[in-house]
Amino acid sequence: MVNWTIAAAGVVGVAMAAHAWHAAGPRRIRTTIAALVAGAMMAVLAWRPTHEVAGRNRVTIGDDAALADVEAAAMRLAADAEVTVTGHGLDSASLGLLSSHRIAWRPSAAPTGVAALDWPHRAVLGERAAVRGAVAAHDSAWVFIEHPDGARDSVLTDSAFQFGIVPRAAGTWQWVVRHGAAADTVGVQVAPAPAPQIAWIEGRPSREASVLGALVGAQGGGMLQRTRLTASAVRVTRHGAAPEGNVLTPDLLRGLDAIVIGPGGLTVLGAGERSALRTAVDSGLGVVHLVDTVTTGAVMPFGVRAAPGDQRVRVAFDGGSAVAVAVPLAPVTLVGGEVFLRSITGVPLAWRMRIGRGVVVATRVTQPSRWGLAGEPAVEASWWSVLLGAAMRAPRAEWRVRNDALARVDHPLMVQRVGEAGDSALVLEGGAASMIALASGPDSTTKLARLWPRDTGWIALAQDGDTIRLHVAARDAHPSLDRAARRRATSAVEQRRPDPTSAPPVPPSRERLHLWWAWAALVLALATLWARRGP
Amino acid sequence: MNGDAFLATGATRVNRLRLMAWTVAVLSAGVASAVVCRRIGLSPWLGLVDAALIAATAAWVIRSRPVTEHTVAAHLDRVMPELEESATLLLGHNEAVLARLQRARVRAALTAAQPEPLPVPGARTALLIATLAMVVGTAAVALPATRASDTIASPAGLTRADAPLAIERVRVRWAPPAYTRRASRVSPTLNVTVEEGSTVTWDVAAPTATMVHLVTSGRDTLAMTRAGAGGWTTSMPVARPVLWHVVASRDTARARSDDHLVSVSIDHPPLLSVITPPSRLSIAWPEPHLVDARALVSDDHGLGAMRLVATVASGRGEGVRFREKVLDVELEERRGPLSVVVMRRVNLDSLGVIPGDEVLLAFEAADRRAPVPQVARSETIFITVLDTVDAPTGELPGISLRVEPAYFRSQRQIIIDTESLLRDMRQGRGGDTLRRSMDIGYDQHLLRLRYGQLVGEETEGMGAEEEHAHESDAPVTEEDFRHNHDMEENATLLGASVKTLLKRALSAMWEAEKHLRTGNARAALPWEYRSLEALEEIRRASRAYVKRIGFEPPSIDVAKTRLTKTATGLASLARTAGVGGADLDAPVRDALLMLETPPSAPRNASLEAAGVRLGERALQGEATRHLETLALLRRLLDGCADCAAAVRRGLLAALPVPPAPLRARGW
Repeated sequence: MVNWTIAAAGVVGVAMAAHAWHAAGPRRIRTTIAALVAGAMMAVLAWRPTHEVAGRNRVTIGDDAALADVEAAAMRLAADAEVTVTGHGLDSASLGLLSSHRIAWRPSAAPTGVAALDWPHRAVLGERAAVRGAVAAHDSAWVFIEHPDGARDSVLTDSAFQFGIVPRAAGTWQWVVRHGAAADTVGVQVAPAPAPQIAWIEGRPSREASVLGALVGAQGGGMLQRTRLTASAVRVTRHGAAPEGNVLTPDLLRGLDAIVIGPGGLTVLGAGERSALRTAVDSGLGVVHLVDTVTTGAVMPFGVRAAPGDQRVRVAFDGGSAVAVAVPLAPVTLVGGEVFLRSITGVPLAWRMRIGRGVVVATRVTQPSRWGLAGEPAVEASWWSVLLGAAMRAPRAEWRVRNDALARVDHPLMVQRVGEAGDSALVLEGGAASMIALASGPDSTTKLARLWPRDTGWIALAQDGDTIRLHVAARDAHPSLDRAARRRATSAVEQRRPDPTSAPPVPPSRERLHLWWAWAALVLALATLWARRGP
Repeated sequence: MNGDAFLATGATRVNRLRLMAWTVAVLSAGVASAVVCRRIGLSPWLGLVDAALIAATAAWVIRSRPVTEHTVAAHLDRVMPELEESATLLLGHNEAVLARLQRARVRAALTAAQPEPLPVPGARTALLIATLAMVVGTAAVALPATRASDTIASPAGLTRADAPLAIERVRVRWAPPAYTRRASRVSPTLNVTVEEGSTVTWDVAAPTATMVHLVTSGRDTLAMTRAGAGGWTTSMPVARPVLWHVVASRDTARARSDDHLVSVSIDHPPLLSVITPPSRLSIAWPEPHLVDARALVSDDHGLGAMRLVATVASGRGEGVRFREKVLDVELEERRGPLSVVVMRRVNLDSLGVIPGDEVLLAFEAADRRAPVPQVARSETIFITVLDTVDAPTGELPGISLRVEPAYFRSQRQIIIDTESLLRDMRQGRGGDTLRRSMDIGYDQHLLRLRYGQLVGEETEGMGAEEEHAHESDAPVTEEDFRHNHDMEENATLLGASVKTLLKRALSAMWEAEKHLRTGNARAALPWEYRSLEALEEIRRASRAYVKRIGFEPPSIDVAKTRLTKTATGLASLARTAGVGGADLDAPVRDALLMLETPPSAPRNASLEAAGVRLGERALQGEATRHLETLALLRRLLDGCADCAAAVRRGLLAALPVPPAPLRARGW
């Protein structure tokens, strides 16, 4: 392709030289040469020539280097070059650019303050979450957390700390963690749990179903309860927005998150229902068995055998203190699967087993309403939350952010979309909306969104109606966390120095030539031409 | 003026000036303090305290640094070198020649020169105090008034029809019910606590309003009537806590006060506490049949009629009869204005008591509440008139145990057998007395075990592994080795006092068995009697439970309703269950979400709904916190953008912790 600028410069130079040659006079040759030089220099300036540069072998980068500076340095470095990092080190993104180089770190003195902090960027309404962290300090000091409602908790520590938070209202909230004069604000999006769809099949009436139905209904979901009254009579009760129908058809089961088989429930399932249930479990449906007698069935993968009766147990949730009220256990024990719930003394209470994409759970606690009757309805709700939580069908797709990720202006932030995710997502920042493409993640079910927040405040990422909101802090916010994270990352990279022979060779780069000489020659030539016109 | 007069005049002038300066300081401080106290809602008379403090300081300063002619002379020596340090000569009477000459020179110098006046000591401090006081006082007058708790600020002096609509002042007063004998009162604040049934009156100053309403949480809106120039008033009886605010209106303009609370102190019924006798008393028939019953009675607003109710229970088994008699009581002692001690000597014979009867005594007291007084009753005193000759019959308190008569006869039989053995031993006959004693001891052992079941004692012969059976694969913990005696399984239906008696009987049986099994029947006999007495006492205590069991359900014809293989009326049905209790706090949750959006009509409507819910919460308790949030919410609705964060905090704090959600948590 013809560079028209260069061509024009050449044509101008040749024209000027021809004009000077044809002009009579004693300085004809000198003038012609000056015209040719001027034309050539104009062509050179228009061409902007480059030259090949071999990679460097050693460079020092300070901890205040911007990502662009690191990227430029990485491009100039040879494959076996050594990069010396000073100060508190570089962040993960910068170190990623230097992954093929040897990193040497000359650390500065370790700072004090909050060295680690992780919290759920997205919490569920009513579900206990934890704000964990660690401080680097010479002596014990108080760490405070200020809740959005004005309440305050504190702990005296010189190392790790943890605060529990139970979100009480949906929305976007901020907790402030204080250590000495420093304060770190953490933003949490509190979202209500999705409305569940449950079915309850039982061989005789029980109180448990009505309690669970009320819980499901209060959460906006629905529960279909089918109770065998006599050999020929059943009672169907719909709690909340329960699904239509009372026979377990594939269509009905497809819309359910879990099905609870209450006492005697296995015996009242028809052959078609059992078959449909098996298929649904394979495709992700959760089943919870309340086992009170020795029983077997198509969707009962555990072995059940008799056990001594009249045993009572106490439980504790979320690492909290034990609940005072003891509940009775059914006189059975189960074989197979994994025990995932035990009493405070270690008695197995619930088992689970994965079948296909679904999970089957079985428990010996068949009367959790004992807690409610004893004035502990919150414990009963927690029991169902844990039990059904282990079995319920996982959401199609969900956003995930590392708990220790810091969202700051002009710093990259990685957000994962796990599940059946689309290829793009909507970003809402400062009232403006834009689309970003999601990159492929480490596995087929994970996609990655890389955000570069530009403003402080809340940034939202949405796909298929599922929106995650992340609180963006100022560029220089969380200084102690930033320093500690860079030190950890740099230290880790330094300890796994790459083998220079295995690193891919860095191709020589090309740099532009300095063209000051062309400018000088052009000025001289033009001056000569101008002088010719004088007396 | 000669020198002596000059010194005297100078000292007087300085003292006068000093007194004036401090007088100004004291007055200024007093006035400023009074103004400040009034502005912050305290009594202006507190300004006198401040003035007294300054006056005391002034007195101390004046006394500690007196100004005399010597002080003036020293000052002149300091400022006039030509006096050659001789000014003090003017004060003396040194008649030496040199002294007179020098005195003359000093007088001449003083006459010729105009000496610099002596500075007034302490005057600068006094003037500083006065200046500060004036500045503070002026600032207190000039700055906008903070809202006093009993008034609602508005521009003063604007009473014309075109003046801005405002509620200038609200006052709450109330008249307690007459029976409380308490005077009407005016509250210094707008959140008041009144006696139950009080008539509360609101006085509002809203001179520019054409209509004023009192809006209460009971959805009642009372139109206030005019009372004087610019004044409005209304009253209502208050029996429950009421949240209220005042709305003044003129044409389309509205002015609204903050929400406030009228709490109600409930009139409690009288409180009775029996001093004597103990709750259970046994009297043997030969003992005097007089019982002194005393009780401490108190009430929050004064006591009305009091009496003692005596109930006599006679008979046994199903044939128990009750007779009730009301006895007057005497005032024995006053303990403060609202408490008295009353007593009554009860002659059991006058109640017609015979051996084996029980007398139940209970004090009753009424308060002065009108129109219907509240009546309370003390705990019951059980007096048992012992009948030692009565043969035991089988009846345990409150529960029906068919085997009970056998228990009593067995203990009696053991005593009979033991006495027979002892008689035979005394007469030198009876064969193998040791074996007979051991046999009786074994009977005592069996009897003790059977009674032990009633109080949940350990049973013998059961393997420990049966009681502590648990999962073989479960880890062994400390809990496994602990034996909880207060578990539900060990609990029985017996009352605490009956259990105590049973345990006493069992303890005596233990002793009797020990002696019998070692062949010492003589030592065992007293323990056998003690055991029998304890069992007798249990039997006598049974009547107290007989009366409490009032309802006897009709008998069920089992043959007609069960095991007939028919289930008529049972058919398949479908029904829709309610979602349970409605989420009353939903308006608060909605408002929290709406607060994240810019101001709009839906947001305001949501905040109004949250305010209604907060008002309900304030009536249920923690009024102060919720009222603060309510006031902030009102200001937010009026356009205070800075109030949003505080409202959000307050609304969030008002929410209870929701139950754990049902959601997939993953493996």
